[in-house]
Amino acid sequence: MVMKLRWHELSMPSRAVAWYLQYIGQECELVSVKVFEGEQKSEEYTAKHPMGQFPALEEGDFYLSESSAILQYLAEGRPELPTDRLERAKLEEYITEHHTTVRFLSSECFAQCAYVKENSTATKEEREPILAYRVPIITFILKHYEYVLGQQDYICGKKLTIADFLFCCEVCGCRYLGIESNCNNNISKTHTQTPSA
Amino acid sequence: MPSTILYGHPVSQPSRSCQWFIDFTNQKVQIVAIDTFKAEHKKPEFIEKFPNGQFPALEDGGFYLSESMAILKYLARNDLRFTPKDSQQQARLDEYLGRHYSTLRKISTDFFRPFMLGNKDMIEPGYESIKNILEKFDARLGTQPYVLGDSLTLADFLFVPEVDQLQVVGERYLEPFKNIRLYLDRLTRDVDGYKKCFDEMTQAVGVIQAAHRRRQQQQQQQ
Repeated sequence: MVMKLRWHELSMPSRAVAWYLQYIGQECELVSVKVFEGEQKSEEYTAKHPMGQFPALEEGDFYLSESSAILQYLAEGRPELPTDRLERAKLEEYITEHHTTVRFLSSECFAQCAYVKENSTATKEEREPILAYRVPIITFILKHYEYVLGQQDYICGKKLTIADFLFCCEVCGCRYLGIESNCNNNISKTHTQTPSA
Repeated sequence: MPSTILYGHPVSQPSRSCQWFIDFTNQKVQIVAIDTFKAEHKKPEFIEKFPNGQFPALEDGGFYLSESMAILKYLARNDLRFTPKDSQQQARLDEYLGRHYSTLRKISTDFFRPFMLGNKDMIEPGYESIKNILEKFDARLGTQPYVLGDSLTLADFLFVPEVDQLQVVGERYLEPFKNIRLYLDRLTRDVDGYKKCFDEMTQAVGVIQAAHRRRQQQQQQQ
């Protein structure tokens, strides 16, 4: 059955799914959502994806959103989705951490970009306090995972899982903004190890 | 004493999900309440087992697990009632999880927490920010009995402790969402362990609010 992914290249969750599709060699038509024209709120879109979010997978009459759900669905039967009970539990643990914490990296980074873009006439002194609070939080998150990746090769342990695809894409957002703390050597190592997108 | 321990708190919504599930499935798990006033979850002995310092947290022999959905899935692994029949059904549950943490959790963080801490000015703006997601789920529960369809799933265990807080802040906040109201009434009547889960929460909320009021009075007197 033909698969279609509604995505956007600036959406890190979209990139994680697109990357994984490429990695596993799954044929899938990538269709860009016209975000700035509000396509995700149109009747056609919300009829299939009621929450109006992307990435969103379409496979025949089956419609699925939420990047972690799509990745788990695509990874069924593959090594990137552990079958061992304890390994699976650790992956589930990361997925929730991803939604509650790690996602902050790209969502906040892009909020920064948007602010800077909209306030291009603001002085450095005016912009700094607005941007300043985000950097420590981002640095804190990166420091935690720098520590984790100093103890093990991949986010969930010794093996590559869908967690690594989700994580790496979020870290890319930080790099885009030039937030390279001097403590993310281990993160860089993992990023190199994970097949390039 | 059972060797499986759940560390949680009766007001913490993810803790409530796990504790209710344990009661519903009658599992032998010891429940240990975290004393948040003493920040027990930030102490070295807790952090050693659960590095992110959060609860709920499950200890099973030498295995340590945090995050409510991971814990629910781990506890439900051998229960056929909660085993998705196929990969599409599994995907629906995973899809709900993503939605839960990005949107529904705001019910607690942006609406209920201000109420508990006495930040009255933040309650109405918090309510405005969650109305949209509540409308979507209210519409869904008008066409099916449970969050994901015809049967109870782990999604209901996550969803309920978020939305049942509306009525605790005030009946008028739940009143516009009639299908959610009917759904909660049905679960109170039909699903083991839920009434106890709700009552324990309201009791604990009373204790926390009283402690905050005392603290505020002490600060005003100083």
